[in-house]
Amino acid sequence: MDFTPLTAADRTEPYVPPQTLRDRGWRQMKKNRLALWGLAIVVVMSLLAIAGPWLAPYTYADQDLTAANAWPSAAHWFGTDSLGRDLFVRVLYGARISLSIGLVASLINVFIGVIYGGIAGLVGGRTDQIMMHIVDILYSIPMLLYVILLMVVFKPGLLNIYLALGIAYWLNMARIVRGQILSLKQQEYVMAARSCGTSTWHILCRHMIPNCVGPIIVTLTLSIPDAIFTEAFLSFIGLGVSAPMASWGVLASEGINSMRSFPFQLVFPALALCITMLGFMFLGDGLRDALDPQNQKEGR
Amino acid sequence: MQALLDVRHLTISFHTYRGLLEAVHDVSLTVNPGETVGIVGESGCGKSVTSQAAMKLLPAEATEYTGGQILWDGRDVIPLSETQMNRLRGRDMAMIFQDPMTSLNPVLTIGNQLCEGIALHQHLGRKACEAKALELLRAVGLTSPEKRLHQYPHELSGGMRQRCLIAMALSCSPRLLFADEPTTALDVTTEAQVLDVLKRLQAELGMAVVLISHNLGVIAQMCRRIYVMYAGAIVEEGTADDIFYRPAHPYTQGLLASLPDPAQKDKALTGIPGQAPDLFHMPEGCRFYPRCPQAMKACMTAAPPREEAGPGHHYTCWLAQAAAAKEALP
Amino acid sequence: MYLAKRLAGACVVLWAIITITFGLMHAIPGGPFTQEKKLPPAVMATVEARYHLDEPLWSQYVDYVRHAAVLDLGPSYKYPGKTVNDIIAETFPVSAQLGLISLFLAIGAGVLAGMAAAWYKNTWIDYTMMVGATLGVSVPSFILAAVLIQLFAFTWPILPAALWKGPAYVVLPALALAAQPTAFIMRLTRSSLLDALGQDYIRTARSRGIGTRSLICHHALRNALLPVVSYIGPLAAALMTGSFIVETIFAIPGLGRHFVTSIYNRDYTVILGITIFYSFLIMMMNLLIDVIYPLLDPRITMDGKKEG
Repeated sequence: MDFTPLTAADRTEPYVPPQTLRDRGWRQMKKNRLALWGLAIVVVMSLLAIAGPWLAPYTYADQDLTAANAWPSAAHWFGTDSLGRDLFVRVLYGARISLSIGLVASLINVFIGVIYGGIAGLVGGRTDQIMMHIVDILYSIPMLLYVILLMVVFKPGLLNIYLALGIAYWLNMARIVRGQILSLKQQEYVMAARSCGTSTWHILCRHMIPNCVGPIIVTLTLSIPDAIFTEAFLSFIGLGVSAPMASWGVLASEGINSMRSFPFQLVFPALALCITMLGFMFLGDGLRDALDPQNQKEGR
Repeated sequence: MQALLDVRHLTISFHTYRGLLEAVHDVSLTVNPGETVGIVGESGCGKSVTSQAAMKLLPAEATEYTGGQILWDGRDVIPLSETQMNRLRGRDMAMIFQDPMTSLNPVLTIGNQLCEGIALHQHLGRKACEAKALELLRAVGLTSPEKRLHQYPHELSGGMRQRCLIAMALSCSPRLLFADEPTTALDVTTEAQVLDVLKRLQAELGMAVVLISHNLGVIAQMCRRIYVMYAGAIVEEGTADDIFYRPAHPYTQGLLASLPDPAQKDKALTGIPGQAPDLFHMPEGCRFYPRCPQAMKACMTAAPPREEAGPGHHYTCWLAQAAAAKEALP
Repeated sequence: MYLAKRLAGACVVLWAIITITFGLMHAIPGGPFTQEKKLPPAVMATVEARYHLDEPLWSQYVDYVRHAAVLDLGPSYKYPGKTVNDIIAETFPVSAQLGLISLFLAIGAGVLAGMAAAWYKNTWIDYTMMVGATLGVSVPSFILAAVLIQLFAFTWPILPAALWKGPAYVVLPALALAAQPTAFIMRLTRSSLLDALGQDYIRTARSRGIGTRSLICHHALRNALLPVVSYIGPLAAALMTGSFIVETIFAIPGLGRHFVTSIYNRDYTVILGITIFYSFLIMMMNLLIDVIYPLLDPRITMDGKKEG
């Protein structure tokens, strides 16, 4: 045994790189198989939506009445509809429309919700009370009815769907952002920063915004399938995008009418819709688990 | 005399997302009937884990008892099932927790939570339970106990809640009470009151108490025997006099040196430099060597031996061997 | 006192709803009677006179609000001689039946399944249920309805495919309607139950020897069900919109199907009337929940403040 005292050199500790929240989030994501599958689905669907229609030999409106209601074959992978339009191509175009509706409507949600919730949370006091009271009231009435009304009043079309869905569903986002900011304002580290004389702007950029990004991304990811869903619903009651364009919702509800004789006309759009939903939900759940810093207890 | 609780070479690991984590390493401690034993150490050193392990309260799916035994009345509790444990918990051993704010169920009244345990272990009727609950609340010194029975936890202050928790823990006169930092969340005057209540009830009921604290003052006031823990292991054990007047382990010495002494106002406060090791990057040899002012080369590579400093006074350190080696040299 | 305040608030919201819907109706370019086929001017004038559409806007508005205040939602434009009230009185009981059955189905099955998943956490039972729940959430109800009809009415003809004539006719629509909320409630129950079981007070209860069953049923479930209770409001709204689809597919003569028909027919007064009616219903539902909630969670006082 060597009982000589330690020197300063002996005491240098091995450097252990600190773990940032983002590293840790990514590590968690990688361990979460379902979330990775979700991510893969979302990426593949997005790529198909962007590039798919260019690769296909038909367009969504090309009719071939001689080949109407054809079953899936080499020429028409998903078969054709009652007007002889290629279903595969229509599903690809549907991906474009449905995904863009999900994305644009959600981005409008984020935009309104973050500004509204941010103002309420940052200003606080009476302003906050009044603003949140309004949100509570709006929350207690079913917004979907008003989306329907808006769509009835304005002509059903892509732009109007974007707007109607975007305007109707920002409440949740506003609540989440406001709650996050309020709780951040009371955090010791924000108070500590303030007591050091840090400017409000700096606190906003360094502490508030980075800590809000996680919940916002999670809410965004989970609101995309909601928007796609709502659009499918609107399509079903005849308020979706107008022909000859078609979202997955339109395709699926057309498919229902011919379900007994030509089930493939329902199956393919429905599958595309459901798989994408699943993808977004897995991804959203995974992101929530990974990005929530409070969610890092041992176990699992 | 058989020890009430005899923990032998207990090692506990947790499954975490970063892999298996050893929270408690080779811990042995005994508690005899009626005595008060203290466990001191910094936060995260394994005090709470050890005591919760003794009652098997750790989350079953994440916990692995990798080694050792926990003998209760001479019987190992580690292999016992949850149902078997439930017969011991509350009746034979009880625990009060650190945070009275979150340790009571917010949607049930105090009376409801108190009576539940009494009814379970003593098979009393509703009326009898309530009478007993009242008596308990009075015993822990709560004002207007009749009113408290029907109140919800959020309507009481921290001190009052901690008294309620003590009343609950004592409801079936257990033979052993774990008090896990019972006063940490309270202010100083309330702390004194709560400790008084504990002391008085311990004398009345003749139960053993394991008091866990990072506050040396509290431990000194209450305990006859003391275990000092560091980074998941016991580094020194002995009577209160041993620990406070003849500390043998450098960590204990550091702890005592860091106590402020009102008599020496001019002296700068000393602390122990550095911080407790990350449990994932545990030093190979002695767990304390990176912070130890007397560390030697040997401390880096080999786990130190357990040495005896006096009757019942043990510590885990290389210093004794080093001194012996020095003496042996010409 | 609190209730009176809430009711007054509800009245204000209702007035706002009526105003918005009225405004929207009159924002329709050309008015409700403009169609592909132009009506002769004389006919148009008589029609407009009959529905007071020739009067100034504000007087129409005052009229509408006054009538709505006494629960008169006006005549239907497409079914002469029928009022919106008639239509609601005729069709709503059917929808209410279907809705309530689905509500209880969703809460009952959802909570039980959620408890089971939490109980068997991280076992195959949990995984199967969670995958099932995620699937349930990701299939739109009209697709589910179509699949159910195909399976249980055509492939194995054991249940009727459509219409509303007796208990057997309820099964498929109720399943299609309740599936999504069930899946949602199940996920909610599972996560909030697990959350509750991880709380300090559960450890306290365990330290007193409380058995596992009592731990879950007495200590954790009550806390875990609070989020489920506050979900009942949105649940009612979800069932309502779901009923539009399910009633249409199953040809059930309920209010939901009528609403969709009115949208196809552009029967504006009916659309507005039903919108107002549904908004009112959901608002009342939310009000009811807000009143019940403090009884379940003592930390919430009647005016919605949280203590401790």
